[in-house]
Amino acid sequence: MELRTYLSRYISWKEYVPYLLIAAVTGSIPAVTINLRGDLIDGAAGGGNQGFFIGLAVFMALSLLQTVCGAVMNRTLERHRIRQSARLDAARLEKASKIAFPVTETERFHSLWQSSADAPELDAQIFAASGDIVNLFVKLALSLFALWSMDAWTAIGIIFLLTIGILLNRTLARKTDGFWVKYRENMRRTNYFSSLLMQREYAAERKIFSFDDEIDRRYRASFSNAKQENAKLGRGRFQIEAVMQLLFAFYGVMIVLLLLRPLMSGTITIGLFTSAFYAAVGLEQSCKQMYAAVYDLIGSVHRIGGLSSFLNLEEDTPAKGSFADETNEGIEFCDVTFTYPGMNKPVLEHISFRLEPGRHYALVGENGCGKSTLVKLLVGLYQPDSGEVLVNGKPVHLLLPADRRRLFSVVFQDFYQYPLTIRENVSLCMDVPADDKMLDSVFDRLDFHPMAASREVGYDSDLMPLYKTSAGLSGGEWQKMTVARCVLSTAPIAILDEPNAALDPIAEAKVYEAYRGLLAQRMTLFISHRLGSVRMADEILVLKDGALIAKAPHEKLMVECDYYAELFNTQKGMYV
Amino acid sequence: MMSHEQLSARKALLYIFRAAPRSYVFMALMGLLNGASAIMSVWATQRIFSHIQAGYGAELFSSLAVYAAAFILSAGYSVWYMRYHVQFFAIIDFESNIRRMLHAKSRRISNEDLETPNAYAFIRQADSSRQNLFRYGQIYVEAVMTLLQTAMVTAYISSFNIVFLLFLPLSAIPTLLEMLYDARLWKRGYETVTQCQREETEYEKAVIDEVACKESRITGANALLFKKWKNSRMKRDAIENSKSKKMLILKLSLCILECAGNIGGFAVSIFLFFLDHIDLPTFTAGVMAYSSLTAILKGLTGTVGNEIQFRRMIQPYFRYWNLPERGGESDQCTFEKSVTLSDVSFTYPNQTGKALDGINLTIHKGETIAIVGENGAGKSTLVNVILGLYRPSSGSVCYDGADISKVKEAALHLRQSAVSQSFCRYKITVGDNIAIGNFSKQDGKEINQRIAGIFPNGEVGQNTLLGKEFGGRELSGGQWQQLSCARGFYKDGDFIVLDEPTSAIDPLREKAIYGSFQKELQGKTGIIVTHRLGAVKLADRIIVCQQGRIVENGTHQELLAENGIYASLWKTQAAAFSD
Repeated sequence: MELRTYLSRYISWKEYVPYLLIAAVTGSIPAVTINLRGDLIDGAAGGGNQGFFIGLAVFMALSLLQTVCGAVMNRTLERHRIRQSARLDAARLEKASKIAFPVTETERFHSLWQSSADAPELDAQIFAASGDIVNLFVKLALSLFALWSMDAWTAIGIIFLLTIGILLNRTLARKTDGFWVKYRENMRRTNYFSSLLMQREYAAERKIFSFDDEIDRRYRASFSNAKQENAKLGRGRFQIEAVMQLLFAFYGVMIVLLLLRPLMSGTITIGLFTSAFYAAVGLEQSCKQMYAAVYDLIGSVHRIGGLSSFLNLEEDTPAKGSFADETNEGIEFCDVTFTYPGMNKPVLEHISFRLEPGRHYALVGENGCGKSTLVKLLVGLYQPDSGEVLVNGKPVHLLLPADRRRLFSVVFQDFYQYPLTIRENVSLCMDVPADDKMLDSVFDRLDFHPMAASREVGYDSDLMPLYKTSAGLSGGEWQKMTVARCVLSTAPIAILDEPNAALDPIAEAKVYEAYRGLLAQRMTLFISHRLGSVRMADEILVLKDGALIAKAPHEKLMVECDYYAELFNTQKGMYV
Repeated sequence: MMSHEQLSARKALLYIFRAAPRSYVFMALMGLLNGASAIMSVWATQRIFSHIQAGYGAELFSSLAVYAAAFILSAGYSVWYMRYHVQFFAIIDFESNIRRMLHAKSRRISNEDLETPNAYAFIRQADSSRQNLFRYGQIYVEAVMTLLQTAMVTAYISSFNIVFLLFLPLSAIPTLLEMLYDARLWKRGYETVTQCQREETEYEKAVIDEVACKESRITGANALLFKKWKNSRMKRDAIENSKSKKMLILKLSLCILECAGNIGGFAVSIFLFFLDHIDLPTFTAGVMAYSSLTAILKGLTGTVGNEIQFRRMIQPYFRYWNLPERGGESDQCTFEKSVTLSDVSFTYPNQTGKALDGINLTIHKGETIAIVGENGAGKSTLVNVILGLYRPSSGSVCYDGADISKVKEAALHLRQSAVSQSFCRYKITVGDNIAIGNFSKQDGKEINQRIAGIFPNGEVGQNTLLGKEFGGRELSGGQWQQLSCARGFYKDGDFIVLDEPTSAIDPLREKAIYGSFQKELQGKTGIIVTHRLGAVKLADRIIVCQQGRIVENGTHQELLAENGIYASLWKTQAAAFSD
């Protein structure tokens, strides 16, 4: 990213300008004291007079001012850091929550999310580095001016060294650009292997299969890979810094020799010589700091580009037509074909059908036949390659994200265990959180009695996995909770994608009975393997190898669709 | 509780130094060199000025050479050692080692102890605190070296004039006060701040997780998560902001003191010079030594502050490190005759209800057993206890009559295999997803056959990378589960547990898979946990669990005749498929 773009986009001038001003004031003080200090030394050498003590007092006052400025700068920086990092982190998280669903499935999304994580830290570096640069610039410029008035050659020598240093530093920044990103990428793999060896979700298989040694080998290989990349970065940086340090050592010697000339010729006194010597030593430090600051600034501005790439990712649904009301006039698939990015074969091909409001449908088919993809198309998470999915006669992918939940409630096969309270988890699809009575009645009908809810805090007990008090729910309990969420939603279309995978048969029968009662008024679409459970649907859609091969009630399918009959009978054999 | 106590600095240091002894010895040596360079440059400055005063002889150049050498020495320390060697080699090697120690620790903890929310938090915190361990060790080495350096320089400048010593403490006082105050403020807010940070991480995870992304785009959960994240963040920032404000006030009130410390050296030197107690070269060397001493002392007090801060930051690592281990003495474990559970009960750590209650069960070698029962009846827990992954809270599990509590886990699981209900989805290649069941087997032919069985159309091969996060492809739940079955059978143990092995697999495939189970289980002992009662028939014996107890035990026919729980389960399922 360009520095200018960054400043205009992320920096508030009200914070930035005063900070730079104080930095400039602080920077001017050391230069002002050069001559004063020289006079003091001469005064001391010469036995002293009244001026000596006044000078000493002024010298101390200036030093006090510098200390105060330093403290104020520090606080300004801290305040900025706290505010800005909250601002940037919030922007990043808010963006993540709005990114278009297909984008969230890409590696780019995850890697940008990670590489933008240090944006606040980089921002603080930019802020601090620009303050440092102003401070050091003023210090160097004024000191050089003071030295120039003593001896031009000394000043020219310093300017020469400064320029070389800056040029070297620019090369350094450019040379080391890409390494950081590479290192991160390499470490991502390493971290994954580490999690296999350490995290508890892998504990059972880790022990049964004792894969530790081989994964450890890969962990080390991946780590040493990352390390090698990183060492390249280090070497590049080291070479340049080593050259600079030699320059500085040379400079330290030169400064004495350069200043000897005016001292010999009597242009400057021994006091001024000594003071200039200190100033020159200080300048050397300032030069180093200046390089570091410039390097930080360039590097940080460059690296913070990760944040803007992240913030530029494509967002969910263009804000065009809204379907604010909760009516449902039916869903229609018109010749829909869909291919996953990077695949050459479509998952779904030329799918056409219509679902009527208030009726109950089921979708069956084998693994990988495209059932889940069809659901994602239906709710507008994916956009078809060709053809259209219409809800109430309008293309569903133009739906506003906020309106999706007014129309659809979905229970997915794999569900996320949100770190929220039970009440919040269940009320996600509602405008106002459900009260205890509503929860009691729904949970009763689903035969869901979380242990956690029997505590004092009841339905407000938190499911955040970090708390000692957190209420652990089993997989089956979580699933019932997501079903309860669907039931409490007022959306006219309910989709249940394999809602019973984790349930036992008795629970399943109870849940299905409950579904029928609770969702009677809505259009429902059940996706399931268990054909015994979905046969009650008004119509069953049969999907095979990406094509819709039949859509009819159970009895009719048993007669007319051989494939369906085979599926049904096979399964019957498994259960009965 | 043991795990909440702070680990003493001594123990922590011993642990850290042991993780990278050479690294720290080297660090001390480098510190010594750096200290020597400070003395060299003061000495050279004094010499330079006396040469100048004496008229500029050839010796001036030799002093200048010493001056330059001192400079290069100290630059070598900061540029080569601190910024190159430490950052790019020492820290990285250390991190790698310390993580491997964590991995090894995880291996020694029994699985039931990993199930608590505490353990979950500990692992995550331990992993993220590892960078701080190196710094913690570094702080001590640096502190010792700095003290040494201070002593050397102090001795050197007091040889000029003893008055210099008077002003030395002055420069340390403000920094010391600031540091103590900072540490106090930090300590006060620490618990809340880290708690908030952890919550924020959980909320962030819930926003960007692959599974959550899909769901949240329909439920609108992100708005709520964002709101909660923001609340937590604001709480944390308020604490940090008030801390920073208080620090400003303190700093301003210490201003004069700090200022006196900063220029005290100059003031004293010039006054001594003014009174003719010292000459010009000593004056210049004194000022120089004084300013480098001030810097050293500030660094030292800063180090003490860091120590307090870092000691807290490394605690999570040791909290995890202190979790109880499983131990075991014997490397011998045979399974020739039977597995016997006698009066086994099991309670999850930190929970009250018994998950298993008085289980008595014998499984003979070569038998196939089916376990059925409602969700939450304790089936998976029972299986984990039989496998020895969970240690019973009371009662005993014996293999061939020998109690397995004394057997090391590695020996215990050697001939076992399992397909778990919560099977893992490894983001590595398809081939490795199977090979991970038994890396030493290296039977590429078998792996290929198994892959072909799962992906008949041939678009997935041994080297297909899985996991979108790493640029690989994604599989359906059913395909993942079949991979986990292949993994379980690839490790050809004599005792295999199949816990809900087909819950995500479609019926046609499921039937074929159960057919293959029969073949794969031949000559082995098998336990199948399933809801597919039709599949249960292939078992020699059926066990019905309810509320942590075994309530029925017999063949399919026997249990139907009993007309108990099994019979009612059977009827429910049959009803779904009746004509």
